Amino acid sequence: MAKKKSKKTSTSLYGNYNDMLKSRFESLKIQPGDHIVIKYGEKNIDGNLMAQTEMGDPSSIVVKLDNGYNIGIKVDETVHIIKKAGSVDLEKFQIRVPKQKKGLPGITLLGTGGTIASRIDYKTGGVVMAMEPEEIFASLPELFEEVSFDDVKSLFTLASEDLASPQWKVMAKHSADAINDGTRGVVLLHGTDTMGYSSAALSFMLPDVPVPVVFTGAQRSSDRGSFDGAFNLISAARIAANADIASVMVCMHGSSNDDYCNISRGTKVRKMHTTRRDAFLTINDTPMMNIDYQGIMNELNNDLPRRKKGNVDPKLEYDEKVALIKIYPGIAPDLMDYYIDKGYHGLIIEGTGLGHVPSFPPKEDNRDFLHAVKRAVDEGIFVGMTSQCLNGRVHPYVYRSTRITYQSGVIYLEDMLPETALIKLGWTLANYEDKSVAKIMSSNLAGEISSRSYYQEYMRNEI
Amino acid sequence: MKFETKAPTDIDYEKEGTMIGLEFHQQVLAPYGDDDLNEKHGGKLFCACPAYLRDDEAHFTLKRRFRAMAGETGDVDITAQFEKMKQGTTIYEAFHDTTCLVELDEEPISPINENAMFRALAMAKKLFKLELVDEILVSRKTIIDGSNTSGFQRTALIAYEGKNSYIDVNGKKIGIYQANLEEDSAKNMGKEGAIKKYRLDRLGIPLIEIATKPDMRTPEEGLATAMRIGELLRTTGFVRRGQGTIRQDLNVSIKKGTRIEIKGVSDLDLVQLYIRNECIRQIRMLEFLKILETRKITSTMIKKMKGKDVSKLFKNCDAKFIKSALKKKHKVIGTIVPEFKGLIGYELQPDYRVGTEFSEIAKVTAGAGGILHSDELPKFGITQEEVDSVRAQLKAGENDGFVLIIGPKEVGMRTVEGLKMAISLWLESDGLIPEVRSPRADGTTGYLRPLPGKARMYPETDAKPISISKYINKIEKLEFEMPEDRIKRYISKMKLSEELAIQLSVHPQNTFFEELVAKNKVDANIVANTLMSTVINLRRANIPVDRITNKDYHQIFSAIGKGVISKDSIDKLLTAIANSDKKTSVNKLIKSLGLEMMNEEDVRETISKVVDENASFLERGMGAMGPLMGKCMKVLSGKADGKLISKLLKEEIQSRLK
Ligand SMILES: [Zn+2]
Repeated sequence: MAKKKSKKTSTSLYGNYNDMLKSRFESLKIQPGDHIVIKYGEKNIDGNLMAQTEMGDPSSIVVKLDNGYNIGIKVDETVHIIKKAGSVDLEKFQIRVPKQKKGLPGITLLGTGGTIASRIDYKTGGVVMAMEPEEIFASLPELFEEVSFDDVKSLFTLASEDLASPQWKVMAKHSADAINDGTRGVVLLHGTDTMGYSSAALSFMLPDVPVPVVFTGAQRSSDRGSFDGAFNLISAARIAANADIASVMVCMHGSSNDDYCNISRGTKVRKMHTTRRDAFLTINDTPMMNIDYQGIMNELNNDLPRRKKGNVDPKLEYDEKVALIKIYPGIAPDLMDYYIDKGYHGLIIEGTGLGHVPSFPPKEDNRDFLHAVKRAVDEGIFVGMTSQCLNGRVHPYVYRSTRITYQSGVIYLEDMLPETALIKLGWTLANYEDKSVAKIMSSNLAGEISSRSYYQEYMRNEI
Repeated sequence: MKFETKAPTDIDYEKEGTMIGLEFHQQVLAPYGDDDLNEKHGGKLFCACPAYLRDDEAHFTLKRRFRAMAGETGDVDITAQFEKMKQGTTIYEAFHDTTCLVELDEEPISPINENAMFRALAMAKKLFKLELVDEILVSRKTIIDGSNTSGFQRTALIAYEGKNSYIDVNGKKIGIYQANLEEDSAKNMGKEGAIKKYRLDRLGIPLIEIATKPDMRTPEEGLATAMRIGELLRTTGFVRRGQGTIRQDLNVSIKKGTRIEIKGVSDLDLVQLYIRNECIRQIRMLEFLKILETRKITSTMIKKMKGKDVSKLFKNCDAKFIKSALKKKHKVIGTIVPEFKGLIGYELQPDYRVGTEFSEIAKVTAGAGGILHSDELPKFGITQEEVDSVRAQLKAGENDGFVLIIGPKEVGMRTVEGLKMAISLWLESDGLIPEVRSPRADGTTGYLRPLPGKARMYPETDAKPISISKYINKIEKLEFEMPEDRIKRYISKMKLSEELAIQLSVHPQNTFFEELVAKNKVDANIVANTLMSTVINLRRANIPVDRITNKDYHQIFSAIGKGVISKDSIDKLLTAIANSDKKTSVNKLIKSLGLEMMNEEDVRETISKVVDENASFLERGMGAMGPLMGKCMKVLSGKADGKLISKLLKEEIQSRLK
């Protein structure tokens, strides 16, 4: 069995201890993990030193007792600290990666960070993104009975909120290379918060992708027995290896049970809950398929792009001069002016209802947002309209205000999700000539626009 | 080596070097929010749900699967690994109104319940003279038997041993070394097939754990200590009361043995028996290991054990349980246990054989219902012929024992793996293995799992460290009345009977009782009787008394204190409140039920009417008092005091006889 020691984390050694304690530890050559005895007044505490966390009291020494409990003892300079023999290596992570079996379908695993790649740093007690992909699937030995790995790579260890187009390009490039090298499918480990953005980006950057490219992640931390990422990853690997489907997708829990995962189209999926396992919903579509605990796949959509032979020709360019504007009552039109003056190339509006912006407010209120929108269009900026309802379709003809907005040159983007529209716009502006942007934005490339709205697509409160 | 199959029923505890320690767990009564359910039942430790235990049907269920994860030191915990063998799916029963996403492991915890923290700290300091930590750090303790939705229990050490940390138990000092504040686990609701079921109403209720030093030497001392700790905790009014609110772990060892934890004893009556039987088990197990040694049984031999489907041999078996099992497509899985012939019937505890231990191992490792073994067969409708054919099929040698498991094939196979692991652990370790055992209803203990090591504790990252400095003054000022003193005060000042005083002195509602008496200026006996007997009788009659809030009680006793209703109306009123829509006020209910007391003039008039209607009784002279009193009570019960009715009736009869 291969053994590998994980990388040290870059958190400061002692954490949040005050200067008195830090210098005391340093002069005594005591590090977190070392066995110490603290004598303070009548107190006599024996245990292993831990780092103090950001929220802890800097004048309390945190000690791990022999029975595993941590306690904090508040001290001043009269404290007596003694170093004893026998430290514990709190960072010892032995990774045993099972041997690959021959003859199994080969997939590619790319790590980007996120909860699924995080574990607790035992020195600081905080959550750090330190897991290598090997570390994650070392705890899933059953995976090695079903798939083999053509390649396993950690592209970066970044949290969801820190990923943007430079990283999307790297993800897309590596996926394309793996696909063109003949991998059966790609699995990307990703933070959940912006997984929908990245899946949309790759949906466009990998046009007409011939195999499954599956994003997956975790809503619970990897330290616990209830870690949801295990089932998500197993399911994603099964989809990548075996599903007869060719698309960029998201594979996450379909319910609060550990019973099945939903496979959603990368352009139609959104994180709709901050913490639940089943946070990801397909919006304005049905999931492409689901996959149960035993790996049985159940197709839910009769319009699935099928796995095929051939390469993918990635289109990686991205124009970052795009923005998403959410309309709210009282929104100031000069917000729009800001983007125009800063030289933005494209704007997506998340309008109210069917796609409204304040169009005829009382004159004295100075809230005529439509006027600002017109200015943007006149200056040659692409303006697209989506709805903050998320569910349903925008429509330019029903009301006078939408008619006027539409006539001013705003493109109504059907049932496209606002975030998907934003990313599609950044990608379109960078890869197509200006004159075809409106046409590209209005056509369906990767499932982002559906021609019909079906009854069962809308999730209601059901008790 | 010769041996006695039967276990002894008594031993010399001193000679064996018996040491007993307790970990006493008691649910803390501590509201998190200010809703009625929280005020009445207390709250949970890390969410705003009430600590409301329910018997009604669950509103919904969830199904989860657990995995063993790497522990703090990087190695998968031995306990976790053991649990992993079970591959268990767990069903959770939940409620829309009294459980939330925190219990479902779908949301990070809310800030800690400060009431619970204060109360636990106060009890640790004042009752047990422990030293409080300065900063409380919550840890996650890995538990993946399914009893926690997260796969861990949140626990914090709040106090440790100081100079005077001991209690006096019948004149002997018993040292206390630690107090923890932790979450209670989900309630075990049995199994649905192979799937474990838990209910989330109990998950997250705050528990204070008091750990003693191993200072007890006999079962009697063990029991006395447990009772004293319980009494001390209850006298504070800070703890929950009732079935399941107390559980204790008993740590028992003999000199040549090892520390064994008997987990979750809730029945005090059996404490002595568990301690006795565990001491016996350690003695017997040591002897048993010697026997295995003389038979030259090695773990290599045991690890070669293999499950085999022997169902075919039972095709024509007359035993009903086998017939019905085979009909369900269940299998009979057999394995030899090398050189074990005659040893499976060896008693480890009185009436608890090695075979019983095998059954317990089968139960916890594979969810098997039980096993059959060579030392008890032929029996139960299984013939000698069938036994012989099993021996032949398993290629059992003359001295080999065998075990049969009846159930789904994979359960049988997993049982064999479980037995292999357990028996080879016996053989590989030098002496007894520290393990966790579960209390059985007959006073014996069954195998549960190996005693977990240190690896299973690590920081709870969703909670911040809590400095306790702001509680110190309040705790210093707090004085708990010892149970003995409270009893005296109840008898002398509140005029309660001795029996009622003793009962109430350790009742968690005693502070509420005193509050009701003081605020509503009502006879203490009426309040005590209501809380200690009326309410309990109504509960037995299936009246949902839990729906009665503290506010309702105040209104009832206020009405009694002001003379609006009679104490005889209490049970009628409680029943009505419990069954009401909870929108009608208590005062309205009093009116609509006609429970208001009459004034003296109206009572006199009613009595006069009753006497008119039954004038014939007057022929008996004052002898009419008895029958007429009965008639009057029928009409006036609850509307006038009995004494008043009697007095007025007497006057009425006397006036008519003149
Ligand atoms: Zn809750």
